[in-house]
Amino acid sequence: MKTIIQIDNLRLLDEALSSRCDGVRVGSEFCEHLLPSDAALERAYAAVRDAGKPFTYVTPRLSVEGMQRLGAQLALLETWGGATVVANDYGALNALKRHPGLTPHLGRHLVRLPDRSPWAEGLVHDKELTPKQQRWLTNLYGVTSLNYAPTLAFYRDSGVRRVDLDWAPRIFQALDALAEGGLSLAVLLQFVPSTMTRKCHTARFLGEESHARCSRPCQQRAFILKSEILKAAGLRLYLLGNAAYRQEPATAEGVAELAARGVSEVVAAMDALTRLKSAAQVDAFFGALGV
Amino acid sequence: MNKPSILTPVKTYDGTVQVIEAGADELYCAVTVPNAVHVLNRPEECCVPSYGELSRITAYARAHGVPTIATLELPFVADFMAEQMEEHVRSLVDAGVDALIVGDVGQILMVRRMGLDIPLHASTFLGAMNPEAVAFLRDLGVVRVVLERHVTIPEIADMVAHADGVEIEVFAFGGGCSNINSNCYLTGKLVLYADDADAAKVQEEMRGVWKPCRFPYEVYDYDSGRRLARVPIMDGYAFCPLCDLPDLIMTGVDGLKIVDRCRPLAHQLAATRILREITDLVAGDDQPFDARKRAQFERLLEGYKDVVLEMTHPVPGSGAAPAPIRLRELACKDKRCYFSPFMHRPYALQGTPEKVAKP
Repeated sequence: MKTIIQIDNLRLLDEALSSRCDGVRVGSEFCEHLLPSDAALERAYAAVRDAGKPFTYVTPRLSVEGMQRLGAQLALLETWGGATVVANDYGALNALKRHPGLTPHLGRHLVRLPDRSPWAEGLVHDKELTPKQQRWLTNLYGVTSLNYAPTLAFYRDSGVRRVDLDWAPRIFQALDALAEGGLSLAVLLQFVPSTMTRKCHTARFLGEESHARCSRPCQQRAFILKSEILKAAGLRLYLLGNAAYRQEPATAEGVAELAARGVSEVVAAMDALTRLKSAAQVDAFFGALGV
Repeated sequence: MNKPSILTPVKTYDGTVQVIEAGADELYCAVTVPNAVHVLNRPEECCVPSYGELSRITAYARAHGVPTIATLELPFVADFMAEQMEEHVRSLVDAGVDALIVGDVGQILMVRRMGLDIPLHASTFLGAMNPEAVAFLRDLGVVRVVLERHVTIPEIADMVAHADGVEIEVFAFGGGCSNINSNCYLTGKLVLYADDADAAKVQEEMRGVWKPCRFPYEVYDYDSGRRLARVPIMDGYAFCPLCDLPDLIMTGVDGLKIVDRCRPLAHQLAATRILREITDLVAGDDQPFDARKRAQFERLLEGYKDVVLEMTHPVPGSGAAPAPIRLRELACKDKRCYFSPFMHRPYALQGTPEKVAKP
């Protein structure tokens, strides 16, 4: 099982590279305004390669302008010698067809995973449902949109060999079919994104005036969202930037189960939610998980 | 100028008769998927109740030259439900629908594997926000792409210009989602089960609100634990398209969709009439949208601004009842406009939070 660090703040790159992790991902899953400039991307690419680690560029949902920027960056990455690109937008996946020197990696935003819902636990135990309905819901919350043989074959035939998924124990069993279907699986740890927006909830809450001039408060600060309703559902949500998450702490037993099911990578983000800021913290985090 | 179709949601035959009379060019709807539990999309009460009722709807609509489009309702397909979904799709087609709205790559593959020669429309669940994404879906065989709702008019124009034969449809009235549909798992039935929940407080907090993106949240700083504000931070109230409609129509977009199948018929009728009037004015003839048309448009707008768009969500403990909010209050005063820059004034329905320091 490989350990991977993901960062959207390049000031953390040195710490990430100093850790014992097997790979470093750079970019952003959630916000195109956090993607690095071409020059910063080149510096990060060189640093990761110099450290002897594979380079993975993580990309988010993309606007017209964001797609144009990424299109140019894909060409650069190919020129520099190739990379894996995590696509969280069908546009990025489409553009990757024109870059055979880059390895497409299906991002989790392109995989539907009902268990990201904070209400899943309550729903599968809803006493108002019949046993048949409960079984159906248990099945629903136990799969991903890749657990459909034609979909799996489509992505495989399109050259996609890698995919990101969440640490959502309800779906662990469903991962067997994906690994057997020829996909290399990466599981992101600790926080499961329940929703995301283009109207950044953090930026608006903090009074940022525009995306273009955003001071990137999400790189330093996160929030807890509480309400009587969430409390009644046994929940709290966490807000980081433009995404709200539910927490799903990883365990050593769970990591061992993932390894047995054929998962090849576990990924931890260095960000304001995980509070991983240094190489020592990263090593301690993965060490506690037995990897 | 391309004159876009107006797409109105329907749930019943009687509603169908009325929305076609009001000026709908196309209808869209869903039917409850037999033996499924509707937790990932709209509740069952927002669906046409049976395939039989759908047959009546499609027959009437076809007789009036209006196509009926059905969404598959569940946003994806997996092996365990594939047979059930195939049966559902066959029933929709047998009921006479003219096209299907699909929300997932797997659903596109499934319909094609079934050998059905029916046009497919890509739902917002496929999240298209750029021309490359539209091209990806076009290559999969869809004939129309419904764009993600949070796109600007220049972005829409760009995607229309590069659509290369695919029709482009946009959400153009109602609907308050602040999040990206394809990545949002907050919708669905809430089941409250914690033993220590204060039922009275929960009930009060939920008055007038059933969408989690409208809940008032207590916002705490993650590191210090300090309480910062109480606001509906996801701010999922409706956006208004009206002032921008001429510019939107002039992008050449093919479809204007009235959002939210759950809203009452009166709302769908009002929205249909408004869009009909504006579309006919802007693109009903070969004349440009000149000063004369602009003046007429401005007069129409004034008349529309008393349409009720939302109900208020009173502050818990205030004892106030939910009250209607008219378009001029919600959209105009607070600049809640579709297709606009994304940092609109927040939280108008709950007051402004105290100033929160940036890090």
